[in-house]
Amino acid sequence: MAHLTIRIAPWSNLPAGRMRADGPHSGEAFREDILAPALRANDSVTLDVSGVYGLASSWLEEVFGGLIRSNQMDPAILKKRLDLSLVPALTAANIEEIIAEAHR
Amino acid sequence: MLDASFLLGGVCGALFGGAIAIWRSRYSAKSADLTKRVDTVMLIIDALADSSSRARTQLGIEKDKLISSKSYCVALQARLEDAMDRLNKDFGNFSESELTKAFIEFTKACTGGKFDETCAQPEVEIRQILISGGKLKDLLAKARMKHY
Repeated sequence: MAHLTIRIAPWSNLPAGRMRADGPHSGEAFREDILAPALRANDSVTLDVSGVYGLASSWLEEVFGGLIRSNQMDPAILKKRLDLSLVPALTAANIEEIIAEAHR
Repeated sequence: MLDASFLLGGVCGALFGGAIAIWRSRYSAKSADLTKRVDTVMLIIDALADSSSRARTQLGIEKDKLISSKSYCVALQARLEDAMDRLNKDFGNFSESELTKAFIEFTKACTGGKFDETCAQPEVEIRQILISGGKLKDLLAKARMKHY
């Protein structure tokens, strides 16, 4: 059972922007360069957002909704592999809602 | 004998009265703290709605560039989430699904969608932000009332 914890803060404590054109720490960059490869290579991935100074809903939507829309991840597998225990409750609920909405 | 029972009754009454007074003062302090904390959350909601309306539409940015900045807006959203989380941890009853849904709806209106672009329909976005913010405040007030 391979497991990985991804800490967003060392990558950027100010992630912003939806697409790569919006900046180097965009949702698209995080999804394609970090999260999607980690989810493919591991049985479970814990996301740690401590030390990050806020996440815009558009950034979260691009990361998690984008995983489903771009067919990089099946929603059921994503739910099974993604561990949100180190994410504040309201952000975790937002991520779950984004995944469910992208799947609809 | 009569004096002793009279004295005992007096002591018991004083102890009971003291306990009630302590409980009442603690309840009052906690209740005042809850009121203040919910009011603070509501002020953050208003500040976020204001900042987001300006950041998304670029209307009125000449008035205050700080409030109109997207970083300020995202930071306010983080403050709101933190304040609501602490409120729930300290008092309970602030994590009901209806309240969580209202928070998601409001933050989606504020920093979701095409937040990174200047919107084409500012009137729609402004209305969504203010209406969803009002709904969140109503639900917070309802959750506060459940504590009394």
